Formats: sequence, structure tokens, C-alpha cells
Amino acid sequence: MDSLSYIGNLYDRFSIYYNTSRNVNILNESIDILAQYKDIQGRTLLTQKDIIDSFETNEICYIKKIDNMDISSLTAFTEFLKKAIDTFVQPKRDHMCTYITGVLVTECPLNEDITRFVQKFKYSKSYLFSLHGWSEIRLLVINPDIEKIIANRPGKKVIKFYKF
Amino acid sequence: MNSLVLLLIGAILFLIAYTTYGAYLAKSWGIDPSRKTPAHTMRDDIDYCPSNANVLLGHHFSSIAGAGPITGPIQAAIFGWLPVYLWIVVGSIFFGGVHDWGALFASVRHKGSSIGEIIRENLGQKAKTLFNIYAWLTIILIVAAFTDICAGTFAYDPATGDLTGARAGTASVLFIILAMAFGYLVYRKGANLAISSIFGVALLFFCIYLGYTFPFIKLSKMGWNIILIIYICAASTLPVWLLLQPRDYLCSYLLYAMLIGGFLGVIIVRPDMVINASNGFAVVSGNSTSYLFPILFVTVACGAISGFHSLVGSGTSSKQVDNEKDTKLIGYGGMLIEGLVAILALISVGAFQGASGTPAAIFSSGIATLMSSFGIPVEVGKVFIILAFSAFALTSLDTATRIGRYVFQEFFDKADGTSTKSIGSNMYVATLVTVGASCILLMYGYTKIWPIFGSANQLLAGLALLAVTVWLANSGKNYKMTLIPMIFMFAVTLSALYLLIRNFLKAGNIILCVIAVLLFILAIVLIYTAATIMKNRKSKDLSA
Repeated sequence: MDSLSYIGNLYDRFSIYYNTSRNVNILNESIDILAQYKDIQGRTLLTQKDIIDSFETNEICYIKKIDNMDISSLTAFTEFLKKAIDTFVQPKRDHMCTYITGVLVTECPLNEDITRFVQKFKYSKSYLFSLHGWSEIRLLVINPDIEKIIANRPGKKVIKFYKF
Repeated sequence: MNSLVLLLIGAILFLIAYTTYGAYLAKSWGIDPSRKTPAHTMRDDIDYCPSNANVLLGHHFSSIAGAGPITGPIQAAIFGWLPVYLWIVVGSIFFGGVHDWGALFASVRHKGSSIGEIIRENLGQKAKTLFNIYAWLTIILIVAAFTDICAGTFAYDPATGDLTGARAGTASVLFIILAMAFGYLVYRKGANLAISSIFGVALLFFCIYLGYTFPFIKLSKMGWNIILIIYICAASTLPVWLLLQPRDYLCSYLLYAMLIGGFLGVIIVRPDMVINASNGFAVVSGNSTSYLFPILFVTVACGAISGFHSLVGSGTSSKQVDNEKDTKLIGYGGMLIEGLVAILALISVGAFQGASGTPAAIFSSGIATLMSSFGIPVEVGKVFIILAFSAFALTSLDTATRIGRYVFQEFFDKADGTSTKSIGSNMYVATLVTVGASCILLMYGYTKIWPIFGSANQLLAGLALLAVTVWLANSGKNYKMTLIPMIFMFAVTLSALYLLIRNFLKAGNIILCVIAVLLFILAIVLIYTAATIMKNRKSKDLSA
């Protein structure tokens, strides 16, 4: 499958549960798909407005097609993801966690350096000793041409979603 | 009477009621299996999501089962086992089951709204404010009662040297630490839930072992009161995922183990009931006299009928009902299972002579003796049961504190519901005021507080039944099955409050007396408001 068809399929898959946008520019980075999901769990007492306790989990996915895949482009993308955490995560009492999922789709071969970089990549932030939640980056690199997915440890939890 | 016979008769009657009276109710209310539920029509896979009926029954039962069905029957055993047993059986079938199922079904037919919203729609904003005052008073009673019960159960008395309380207290503290570690590992560190659950349950039993072997927390009742007050202040403000969710999750394993152990024990031991079948209509205890009517019916609340079931339970379960016919299993079946727990609690106090102490101590002693029949040492069994009981009591405690805090904050909100910056709407201030008010009540002890809590809780049930009755009437359906329990519950609660006010006045318990008077007045105003609105609506409908 070529990258464009894969991104098209992915968009359809995201559209079921996520708020999705195509071809957006975020923090000076052009992104092919932006998908956002917010889940609020809680208990209410009398009416829906009377919330006794609640917590929210967010996921923001940035899907980007890239033609030249190397360590520097990968590093630049992870820097963008870190910046996205600082900009878009809103720690507060009811915030449990926000996952920033960065997905690079490429048709370039995925060499050992790239594989090692992705698998070892780890970035997480706690807010007020986790009492105001935390955020974490999931990083995935996908080559739909050879149907290969590389993910860091947190990314492995969502790998199924990105399968072909 | 043999306890196994009581348990079997109860189970058989519940089964017959489920199939016959349940079928009658389903027919009268027009339960329609072909009608789409809100879980389908409003499906968003967040709140509204169709769930398997058995799974949903498990969730619903965990939500409604607390320490209530255990404490009530043990407290009410002063009237003898027979009236308590009859009220549990009749109450669960004709009152509590109808109440829970009716509330759930009404909620399903109202797009998954909670019963509170249905009440609010009928009674308006003024009644909602009155209801909030009522709810807050009820909550401070719950917090005081359960804090006192837990502290009394965990207390160590150097004079007697009995280590049971210290063992259970130590195990409970270890369990709370375990639950927090479990929550941190599963949520924060992404540990696998299945593997974590296996280790979590194994460590839970290890906590019991440690508490039993090294009971290092030896505190007096006062010491435990202070610890528990600090705990509920923290638990009601900490993130839910860190403590409440993992603790409730691990608690469900305790509940199932306790139920299986208790039922197995009754089947193997088959003890006879040794307390009197009946002690008459009036029972003198100390300086006060308790009358079977109405005190029995407010003391045994959760084991027969409980208003809190409709408040906390109906808001979530109704949104996940896959098919209208499932409401019978979840609403009616869930309450009947709770009735069985209440019978088990009654057996634990009735089958063993000289049971004394807090309800937790009595229950643990009875069930531990039963569990010893299949090899679990009595002392270990006691620690296990007290841990299970206290875990439920602590769940009730911090949920009640959260509700109390929320209701208090709401007093200071603007009319449109937006929050103000006043000190009263501050979360920590609201928590401290709620817990502080409960601390004042602590000096009276749970035995004096429980009947007022029971009355307040039962009145909530009456109001929920009122809402369901009105809805059934408006829909042109048969509503006798909810009308009769509603009238009975109003009669019970108001006469109970009247008697309590009289007793408190005689004993000079001014604070409790004031609370009972306030509850009585609020109850009358709420019933009057409801009756007026319904009457006006009826006249309007007739003139239209």
C-alpha cells in the first residue's frame, strides 16, 4: 500500500471516534492528519451537572507523511511533539493524562539507526507529582509499502490500530 | 430455626418473586424488548454504550452494595430475627426491588437521565435547593456513622489485649497503600491489567497475612477517628484514579470472596438461630425504647430498600442497558442479591450467642466461624471479613464526603449554576466544613446516628418512588406497585423522625434533635411541594 492510500484509510478509521482534520499547520509543522479524543469518566449525583468526581484522558495524534526519513528529521519531529505537550496539555485537578501520539508515515527504508532511535525514545512529564496528571509521547514510524511499524514502548499499546 | 433453611427459603422466594412478580411488573410497566434503549439511540461509546446484562449486573451490584446491608440487619436484630428476616424478604421483593427496577426503567425511558433529573423536572429548582440541604444533612450523618463504626472496629484496647481490631486496622492501612500502588502502576506506568490484577489480589491476601501476623498499628478509638478523618479528607480530594478506582476494583474481589465464603459456611455448618425469634413490638434498650414500627424499617435500609440506590446507581447503569428486558436482571435481580447479603448478615448475628461489638465485629465473628468449617482459621477469617467490611465502609465514607463537599459548594453557586469565588465554594473549605460537621456528631456514636440516617435514606427512596409513580400514572400505566411502597415509606420515615425527635429531646441530644427536626420539616415541605405540583399538573391535564 502506498503512503497516500494508507493515510486515507487511517483518516477514515480515526473519523469514527476522533475529531479529525486534514492538512493542518500546527506550531509551524505541516501535519497530514490531526486527530483528537477526549474521554471524561466520572460519577454524578442528582443531575448530569452534579459531578462528584471525574477525570479526563486525552489523546492527540499527529500523522505526518515524510519523504526523506533520517535521524535528523525524526529528531525534529520529536521536538515538535515535545513542544506540542508544552503548548496543548492543560494540567488541572481533573486531568489524568494526555497522550501525544506522533506517527511518521514514510516509504523510505527503516534502517537500524531509525529503529533504535524510535524504540529507545521516551518522553513523559508529570504535573504536580502526578496529582494534576501526566503526559506521554507515543512515537510510531510506519512504512505501509513493506507493512512495517516501529514504535516506542508506550506506542506499542496502540500499534494494533495502525496495522494495515 | 436452622439458618440454612432461612437462607434457602430466602433464595427460593427471591427466585419465585423474580420469575412471577417480576414478570407481572414487566407486563404492567410495558417492558418492551423490541424498543431501542438510550445505549443504542444515543450511542457515543463514552457514556452511552450497550453492555452485556451480566457484566452490567456486576457493575450495578458493586455500586449499590456497601456496608449498609450488613450493618442494618445486625443493628435491627434487637427486635429478634423473624421481623428482620421478614422485612428483608418482603422489603427486597415488594419495596427495594420495585424501587431499584422502577428507577432504572424510568431512567431508560427518559434517555438515561438519573432519577434526580426526573425529580428535578417535576419539582423545580426551589425543591432542588431544599433537597440539597436535605442531602447534606444526610451525608454528615453517614460520614459520622461510618467513621465511628470503622474506628470502633479497628480500635485496640490494651486492657483486654484483643488483637482483632489492630490486625484488621493494620491490614486495612496496608490495603490502602496497595490500592494506591496498584492505581499508580496500572494507570501511570501502563502495567498490564490482567497480570497486575493477579498480583494485586495475591498481595491483598498478603496484606491480611501481614496484618494478622504483625499488627503494628495499635491505636485507640480516638486515634483511629483522627486517622480516618484525615483519610477521608484526602480521599475526597485526591484524583479518583489514584485511590478510589483501584481500591473499588480490588474491593470487588473481596466482596465475591466474602459472599462465597459466607454461603459455603452456612451450607456446611447449618447453624441454628440462637437469638429470640421476636422480642415484641417495643424493645427497651438502656434509657430508650425502640418500636418495631417504624424503627425496624429505617434500620434495615440497604438490605430491603434504599434511596441511595436510585441516586448513585441509576445515572450510569441506565445508559448501558442493551435491551429493556435486561433492566429486570440489573434492577430487580441486583436488589434481590443484596437481600441475600442482608440475610447472611442476619445469620451472622443470629446464629452465634453473645455476639457483641460493632456491626463489623459481629459480622466478622459470625462469618469467620462459618468459614472455619472449610479450614480457614477463625482469627484469620475475622481479619479478612473486617477488612472487606471496612473497605466497603470506607467506600461509603469517601463517596459521601465527596457528595457532601459538592452539595456544600453548590450552595454558593450562582443561580445559573456557575461557580463563585466565595470561600464556601472552595473545594477544601467545603470538605473541611462537611467533615467538621460530622466530627461534632461523632460524639454521639453510630447507634444513635444510624436511625436518623436510615430515615433520611428511606425518605430518598420515597421520593424516588414518587417520581416513578407520577411517571407511570402520566403514562397511563398501572402504578399501584410503586404507590403502596411510597406511602409506606413516607409513613415510616416521618413517624421514625417524630419518635427520634422525642427520644433526643428526652435524652438532651440537642444537635441530633435539631438535625432530625430539620429533616422532618424538609421532608414535609418536599412532599407538599411534590403533591401540589402533581395536583396542579393533573388539573391542567384535565382542563386541557
